[in-house]
Amino acid sequence: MKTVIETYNDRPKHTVRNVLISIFLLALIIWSIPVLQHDRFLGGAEIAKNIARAFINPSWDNIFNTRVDGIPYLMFQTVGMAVLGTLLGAILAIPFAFLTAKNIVGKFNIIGNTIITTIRSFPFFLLLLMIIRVSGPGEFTAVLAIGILSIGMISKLYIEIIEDIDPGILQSLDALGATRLQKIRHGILPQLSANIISVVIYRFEINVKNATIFGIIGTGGIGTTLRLAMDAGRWRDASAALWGIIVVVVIVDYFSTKIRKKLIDG
Amino acid sequence: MKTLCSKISNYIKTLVERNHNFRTTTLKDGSIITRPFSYSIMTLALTFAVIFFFWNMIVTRFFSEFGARNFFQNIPNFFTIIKSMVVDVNWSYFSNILGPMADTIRIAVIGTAVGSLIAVPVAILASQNIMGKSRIPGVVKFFLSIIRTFPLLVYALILSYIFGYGPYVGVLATIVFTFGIITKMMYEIIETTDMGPFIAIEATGATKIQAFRAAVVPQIMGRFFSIVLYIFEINLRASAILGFVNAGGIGRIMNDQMALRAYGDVAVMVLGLLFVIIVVQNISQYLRGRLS
Repeated sequence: MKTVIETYNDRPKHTVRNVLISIFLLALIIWSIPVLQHDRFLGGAEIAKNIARAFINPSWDNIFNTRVDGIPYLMFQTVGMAVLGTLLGAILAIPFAFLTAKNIVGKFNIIGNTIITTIRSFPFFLLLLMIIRVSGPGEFTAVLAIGILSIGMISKLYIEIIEDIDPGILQSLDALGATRLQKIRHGILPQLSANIISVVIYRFEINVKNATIFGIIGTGGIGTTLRLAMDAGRWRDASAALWGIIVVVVIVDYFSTKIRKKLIDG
Repeated sequence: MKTLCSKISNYIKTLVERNHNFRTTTLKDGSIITRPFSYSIMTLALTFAVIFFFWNMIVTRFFSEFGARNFFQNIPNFFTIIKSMVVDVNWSYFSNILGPMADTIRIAVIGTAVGSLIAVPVAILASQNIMGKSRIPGVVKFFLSIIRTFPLLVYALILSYIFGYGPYVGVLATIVFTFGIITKMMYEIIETTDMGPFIAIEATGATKIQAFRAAVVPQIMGRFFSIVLYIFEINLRASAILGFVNAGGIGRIMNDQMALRAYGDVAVMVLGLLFVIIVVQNISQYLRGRLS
């Protein structure tokens, strides 16, 4: 019979493993330290002070401007790009999902899987630059890019759902003499609505942030306004755009969390 | 905010109940079926109205700036780019991407390491069950939620005006971004841990820090590391784009080569980036599987 202390001292300690991992991490960090070299500090303190002052006192004219170049319009536009982009992604994902679901194509799902993995890990700004060559630097480009980039995540969700559909329900609806439309309405939609909506809303939340990023690269919306104002040194206009981003993201976050909680809890 | 929202939702509920219609159908044999009137059509119509509204707003600018006919004419451009990427792969460019690629990885490493180290104490400050009844967690959570609203690129943009150019700015932006996410994930985990051992150890006369070290740390250690690995993956993907605001990494030369239409060079960069991302992803997935 061992005492508590002895048992405690005999616990598995993984010393070798922990030391190896620590050495590896330390080496990685030491290898990365050169990135911290920095010699330019071009009057940054003054700019930092100006930005901080402007952040507290943004340009109120811009915030309460209800015309096309005002912040409220741009906020709506950012949300609009995300809404339309998510919708486009949800539609574009359908064929990919059917080409990849195991119970439809069997072993050939490798092709679809490869396509989806490529879309997911392809550097997204490059795709954006390629789409800018097609539709010019405008809001429509952001919608297209958001749609194509959402394919990866949304089709993955569709695949799970298609693979999970209970064939018994469809058979029993068949036996009742239901038409194809009725089968979809009463057999398939109730099985997937809650799950789909919650993931699409989550993706929408990501896409609102993406719409801002794309704007900085140059596709219109609030991001472009922010970048132009900062390039010109108009800090108060820039901070108005920043406050716009904060308000949009907080509102979208709040409602999406609330709706998803409701959907999951039932 | 909360009371206002509940008031609005109550109001909508009463409105719905007041208008709760029943649809009655008379069957052939004379019996009557009553069933509730569905609101799904109305919801659908409303959704379409909202989408149409946004569509209008975007399309008006889109048509005035570019024009739909050009869009359909320019679709082949997309495939031309892809084709020239595949055909003219310029392998001799490979030596040029090694430096920026290393910078990208370094930004992600340092940013994740420092950001997650700063995140730990703040996460403890933000968790209600450790801090007791004090008001600090609420305040800290409020500031965290503001920090989390900005994407990485916005931080890089702001910081690039303060600190000038270079990967240093990217590191700073990554630190702030990582700090925001990891703190949130950490306090959510800390708040759901089993507090029994913590209370028991505190009752033996240990201080809060000692109790945290002995009771909570073993419970959250594995999950902390798996979160850090996950965020490292995200940062690696995200730090590739930092070059757009001159904050270092591979994004800058990618942007330049894209502007010069040197698609063969871009293809080499994409392959390199994909290789790094997939290797890191697989390693981190393996490690996360081992941790949990």
